[in-house]
Amino acid sequence: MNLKQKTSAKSKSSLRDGEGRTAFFAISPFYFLYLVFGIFPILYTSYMAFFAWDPLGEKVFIGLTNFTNLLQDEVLWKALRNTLSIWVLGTVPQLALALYLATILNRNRLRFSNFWRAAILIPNVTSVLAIAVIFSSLYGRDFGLINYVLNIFGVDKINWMEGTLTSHFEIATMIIWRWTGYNALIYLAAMQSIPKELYESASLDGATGWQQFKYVTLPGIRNVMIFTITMSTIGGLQTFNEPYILGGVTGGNDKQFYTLAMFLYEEAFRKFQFGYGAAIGIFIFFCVVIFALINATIASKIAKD
Amino acid sequence: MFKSLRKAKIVAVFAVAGALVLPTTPASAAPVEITLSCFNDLNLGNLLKEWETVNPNIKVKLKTADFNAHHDGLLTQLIAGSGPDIACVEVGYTSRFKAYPQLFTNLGKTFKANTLEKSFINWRWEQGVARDGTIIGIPTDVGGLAMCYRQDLLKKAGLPNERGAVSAATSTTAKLTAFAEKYVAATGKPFLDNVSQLFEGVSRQGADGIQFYDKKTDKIVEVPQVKKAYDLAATFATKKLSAEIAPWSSDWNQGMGNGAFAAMLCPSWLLANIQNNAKDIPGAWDVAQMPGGGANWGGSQLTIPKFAAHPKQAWTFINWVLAPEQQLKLFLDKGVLPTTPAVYKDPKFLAAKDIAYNNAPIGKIFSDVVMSIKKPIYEGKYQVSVKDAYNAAVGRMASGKQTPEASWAQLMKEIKKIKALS
Repeated sequence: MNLKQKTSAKSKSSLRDGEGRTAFFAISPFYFLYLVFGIFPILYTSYMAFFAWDPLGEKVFIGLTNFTNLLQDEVLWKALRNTLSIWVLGTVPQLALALYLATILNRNRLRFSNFWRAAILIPNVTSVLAIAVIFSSLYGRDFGLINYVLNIFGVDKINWMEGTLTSHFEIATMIIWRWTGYNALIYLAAMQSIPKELYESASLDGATGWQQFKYVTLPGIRNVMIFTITMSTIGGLQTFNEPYILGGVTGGNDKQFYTLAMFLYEEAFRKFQFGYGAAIGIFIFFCVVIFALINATIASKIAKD
Repeated sequence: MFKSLRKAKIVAVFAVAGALVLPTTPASAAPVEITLSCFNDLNLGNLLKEWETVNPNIKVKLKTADFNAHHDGLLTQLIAGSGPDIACVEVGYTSRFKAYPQLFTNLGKTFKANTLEKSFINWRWEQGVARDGTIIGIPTDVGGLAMCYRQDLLKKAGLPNERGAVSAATSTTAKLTAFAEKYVAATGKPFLDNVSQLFEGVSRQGADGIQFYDKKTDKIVEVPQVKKAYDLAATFATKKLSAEIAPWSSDWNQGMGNGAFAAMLCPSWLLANIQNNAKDIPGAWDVAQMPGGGANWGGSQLTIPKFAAHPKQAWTFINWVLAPEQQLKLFLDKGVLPTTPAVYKDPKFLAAKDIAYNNAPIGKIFSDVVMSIKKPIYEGKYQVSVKDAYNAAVGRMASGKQTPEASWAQLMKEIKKIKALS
């Protein structure tokens, strides 16, 4: 290495030293917390999954037994089916609705726009329990409002949480209620970063509202859309709160709304099979990885087009 | 400037700490706050207010969570090495915690709780003792089982509606079925709230104290009484004698007030609940004997986790709140059934008549049930999982999703899986 290179490298690094240290210092709390609450539990869970792990007693190494048992457990596949079904029912309408609401909020002529933008986040910050109380009485079999309305149109009483598809529907509507506003705000932020000039020139060219949406708005928020789809996929695979509170810890008499996360919870914290629970956690992890990869492939394909 | 301020602060902290540690002035000890964590307030509201004047130096802070969440969370907390000063544990979950006595203060060794044993109902006391003899909890209440019924609705249906007559007409499960059929035929409305409660109550009537677990071997077993209860539930479901409203649902609560059903099994701790939901129809409900004989269902214990910050103060409170005098007050106030039988002879207890229940002498009725029990149900480590599986089987059958036979077959498969757990 010659002198010139060395000095330039040095001056570069001394420049980085000043800014870099502060920057690293500023972001270090996140990484510290992530190490403690993110990386360590992940590694420890992978370790536990190879043991018959009594939380207070013996820990016996059993190799891959937990995994082979898990893959043969019919409950796992039922939980996976339920989770995916609830995820599809909850995510697709949710993101579509969020997009629609975001376009409304983005209109210049909208009155009290700040009020609506704040109001749309209220379902997300309301206590889950309070929402669940409202939802379970709305969906009540005998005195619920929804069955009452359906009854006017001649539909028989539906026992929502008892059926497979009906319980998924009920859970999905609660997920939609909670998360639509949140995603709408993210979309709104992305839409506002699209330069106004693009719309102006589009309308000068005689583009209709729909054409503007299709050719200006959608491409402009594409990256954010991929982000929200990925995040709601991860969230969807971990669905726990809504089915737990609406239907109970057992996931239904026929396990009709038993999700992967509920399966993990029951094995680890109600049957004390920590090792088996850890194996379920690893399974969920790989599901998330697979879906994230699918998302990434689609995203890069769209980006190329 | 800043440095000296910090120094002053440090000195102040040490001074305070020193004052706390030095045992020179015990009379002016600073008040201690202890936490009581539970799945509801155990109806203690008024007693907690009284405690403030009895012992202002020990403040009790109540923390509540949902029933399952409380018990699941407590175990996680204990395993992680923390816990509240006092934790309540319901009987159905006690077996889980009794499997880990090392997580609790041994109340016998530490506080000589065994001297209290003789003032409590013998078998009820045992429910708070682990297999190795560790006393982990002191019983707060006992759930004697009876049947609550709407005397006004039975009268309208042309059936006997007086306490003794109803008890006689439903004294066995066969008679109960016939009685329910008559009611349904006369009114076209369901008789019972749901069959899962019926199953739970009847499956607890085994004379030998076995429901799901055998005490001798500590193993999961199947006994005829449980199958009998299942078959009875199936009869009620297929003949549409029950409204099939899920327990603890909003429909259930409303049903207690609007006549959606005419009878329900009522362990004593459910009385306050019915009373709340039937405020508009005082005197409509009444209490008869449990068909097929009395049984025990529910009740809780107060425990002191190993990691409690203030075990001594916690014990002082438990000792006071579960003494017979306080238990009597709690009964007169909220209808909570005492665990100390001395109270059952108190004239005030015997004279108590509940207007909400058509002036039924509920103290007498429920204490008779409790005193007739010789062997309580023995519960094992996976009690909760076994119970969940049975309840689900009853639910599948009751909703018509599966035939009683198919649902039972699936249940046996699930039970086999639980048996395989260590």
